[in-house]
Parts: sequence; C-alpha cells; structure tokens
Amino acid sequence: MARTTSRLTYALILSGTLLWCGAILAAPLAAADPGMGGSASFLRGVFHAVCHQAPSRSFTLGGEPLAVCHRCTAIYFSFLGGVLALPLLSRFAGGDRARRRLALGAALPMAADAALGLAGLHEVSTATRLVSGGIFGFCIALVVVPGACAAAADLLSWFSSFPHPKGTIHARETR
Amino acid sequence: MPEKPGKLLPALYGGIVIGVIAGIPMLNFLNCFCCAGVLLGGFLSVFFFSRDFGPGMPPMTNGDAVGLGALAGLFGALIDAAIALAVYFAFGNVAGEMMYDFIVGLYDSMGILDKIPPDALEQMEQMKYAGLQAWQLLIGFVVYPLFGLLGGLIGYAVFKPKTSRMQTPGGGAAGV
Repeated sequence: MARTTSRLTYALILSGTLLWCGAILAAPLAAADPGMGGSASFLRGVFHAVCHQAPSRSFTLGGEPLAVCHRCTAIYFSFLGGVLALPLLSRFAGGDRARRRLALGAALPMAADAALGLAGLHEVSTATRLVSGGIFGFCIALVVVPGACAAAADLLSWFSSFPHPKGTIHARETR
Repeated sequence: MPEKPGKLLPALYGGIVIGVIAGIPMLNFLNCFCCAGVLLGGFLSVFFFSRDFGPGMPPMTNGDAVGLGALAGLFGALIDAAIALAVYFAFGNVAGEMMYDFIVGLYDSMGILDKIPPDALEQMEQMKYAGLQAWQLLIGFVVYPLFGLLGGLIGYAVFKPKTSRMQTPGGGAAGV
C-alpha cells in the first residue's frame, strides 16, 4: 500500500513538473500567436510571482522570451531531470546524512554565483546561471521528491488511523 | 505519551518571513531567485517546529513538514496581500516603479537600452502605471503554499530525526 501511494505521488509530481515546464515553453508560443494574447499574459503573470522575467536574461522561443529567466529555466528543467532520474538513482543507497548535505550544498553554487557577482568579484554569465541553477534544481529534486512520497504515505496512515464506521470496507476487512 | 507540538505557531512564524519578504518592495526581489523567500519561510517553519520537540514525543514526519510548509505559504500569501494593499494605498505602485527602474537600469548598464523595441518598453511602462490587480494577489495563494511545501521538505531533510526512513518510487530507502 505504501509503495502504491509512493508511486502515485511520484506520478503526480512528475505530471505537475511537466505541466509547469510546459507552461514555461507555452507562454512565448502563445505570445507569438496574435489570437492568444490573453493566455500569454496570464501565463506570464503566473510566473511573474517567481521570476523577474527580464527579456535580456531569458531564452527566446519563436522570437518571444520564455516565461522565466535563464537561471529559473535551468532550475525547473533540471528539477524535471532530477524527478526523471530519481528511480534510477535511488538504487544507490544514500543515507540521511548524504541527503542533508545535498540539501544544504545544493544552493551553494547559486548563492556563490549571485553573491560574488553582486560584489563584483566574478562575472555572472548565462553559462554560470545555467550551471548553478541546474545543480540546484537537480539536487533539490533528489531531496524533495522522496520526502513528498514519504509524506503521502504518512498522510495516508494518518487518515487510516481514524475509526471507521461499521459497514465500510475497512470495517469488513478487520472483522 | 506526550503529543507532538502545535504546528500553527511555527507555520505562522514561517508565514511572517514569507509575507514580509514578498510584501516589502526591494526585499521582494529575493523571490526572483526561484521564490527563495518562500522556500526560506517553509524551511524556517520546520526549523521552529523541530525546536519545540521534547523528550518522549513522537518524531517529526514528512507529513508534518509538508503541512507546515504549505500552511506557512498560506499565511505568507495572506500577509503578503495585506502588506501589498497597505503599501499600494499608502504610496501607490512602488513595486511596479522599482521593477521598471531595475529593468531599464539593467538595459542601460548593458548598453542595449536603445536596441529594445519601443513596444516592449511601452509594455514595461504599462506595468509601471498598472494598478494592483486582484488576480496577482490570488496567484500567491496557489504559488506560495506550493513553494512553501518544497521549503518544508528541504527543511525536513536538514532537521529530521535520525531514525526515520523514506520510501521512494524505486522501492526501499531513498538514496541519491
């Protein structure tokens, strides 16, 4: 039962991530189509909550900028890569300590890139934004997705801990 | 056996962090880094929750972290909306003006301001003068719990008790 819940949660996260990444690509395509201006501005409005969307710092598709900047594009698409790679990588046993280090270390390259760039000690380029954002997204997927799968199992066991009224399937099974 | 500590207060503290970062102009640029302020609020709510545990209490679970992060995001969206409304009615669209100045300043420093198409500049200027839109505030109620939840799960990976194990789609304990 726990494994089924875990797989369902994984499928849900994968679908959600695909939808999110699809929306990032759909925004410029909609903007390029004169009849879909409303959809394009809605999608850009949604992503405006999470990104500055400066066109000079964004990839373009069909002559229009993506809904998020270079760094955010790297984060979300590498997160998708991490979600897809997780079933293969989970075979390599990694303990809690490894996951803790991964969670703390994932943001370091991105933080260093931004902080050193602001201090004028290092030139922030599209390449450094892509690499640091990519490392963050991929590592965070490896930390967060197993946690979300376990959380779903926790929630399920919490729901099943409630007493069931007589006549339900659970009551019949335990009789 | 003593029960787990309450979740409401740690989630509220996390929500205050999220709301203050998102609601105050200039400080809200932090959310341009993949909602970093919201992730931080979810992370901190788990940190505050983990500090409330005493001896003999059942250990914190992933479900607790998810609930805390999402709740912190919800509180954060409420506080953000309240601060954004207060700032808007007191000072006007300060955030839009700052964002416009930031982007135009960025183009100017790169020396490409004169190469930007006039309609793109006009669109940005509209953002500067646009009022506070209700749907932009409502988006926070969807996006912040989502990113708060992620922050909560990252927090759980850092602050979790050492004995619990996680189930993955590959089967067995999760590893990397």
